[in-house]
Amino acid sequence: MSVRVLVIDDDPKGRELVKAVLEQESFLVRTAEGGVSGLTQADADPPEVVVLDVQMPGMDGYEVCRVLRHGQKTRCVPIVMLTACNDASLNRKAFAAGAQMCVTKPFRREALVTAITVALRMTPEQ
Amino acid sequence: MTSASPRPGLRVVAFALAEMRLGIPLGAVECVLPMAAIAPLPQAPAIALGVINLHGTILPVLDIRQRFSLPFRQPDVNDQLLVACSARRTVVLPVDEVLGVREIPDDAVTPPGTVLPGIGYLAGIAATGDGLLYIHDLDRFLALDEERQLQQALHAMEAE
Repeated sequence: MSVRVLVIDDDPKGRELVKAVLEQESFLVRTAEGGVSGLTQADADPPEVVVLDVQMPGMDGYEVCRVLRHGQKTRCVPIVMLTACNDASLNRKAFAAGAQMCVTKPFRREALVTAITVALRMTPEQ
Repeated sequence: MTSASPRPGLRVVAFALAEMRLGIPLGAVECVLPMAAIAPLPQAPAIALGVINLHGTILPVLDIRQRFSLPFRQPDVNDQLLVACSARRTVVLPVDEVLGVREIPDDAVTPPGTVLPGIGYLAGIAATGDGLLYIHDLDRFLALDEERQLQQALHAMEAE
């Protein structure tokens, strides 16, 4: 059965690119154009994994991540964060907010799919 | 009357992993870092969770819980990354908590038994004041095929 992914990114091009890549890999993808919309969708129907852009206006990726981690329905959902660079301090910040994996943009298809696969593996079965 | 001189000891960095306490020889440990989100490493063996970038050096993060047949759990904010050198490479191990350096008399280390999960990855077991300490043999962490696959995946990443 297809893994249900929620992609949260304010940039329409970025959002559609991630969606297209994941749909080609048989993921079932929903998208949200910002933090508030993403949190509403995640709470209404929790996905199996969230792909979250770090740089968003208003509520940024770290803040969205923290809210997901504290949500009763979403606290165990693994989070893959899309970041601008593979930097140790940024990755520590992403982890502290609640993300397991970080993918640097621009990303390779294989890297994003591997990140989702490992993030799912690191999460205990409910 | 003189007492016998103490036997030279083995100094290990002890760490907790679920209910187990393990140790790696102090000389093999490079540093301990706070847990971080991990970057993916495509085509890596299943034992590799991904990589971290440590001062410009890409290091593989290996799933020590899986190696010792421990159940998966969501990484915790208190987890730590133990950076250690095996004979072949520097690796990063996510652990529950680094407990500190322990000195173990050589004669307190016994060969591992035969029924423990991950037995093939142990150099010995030591009875310490606060329970058993399993001494991990980092050189045996990766099987040859895993080592080869990991090397290829890291080369592919560096070539990007």
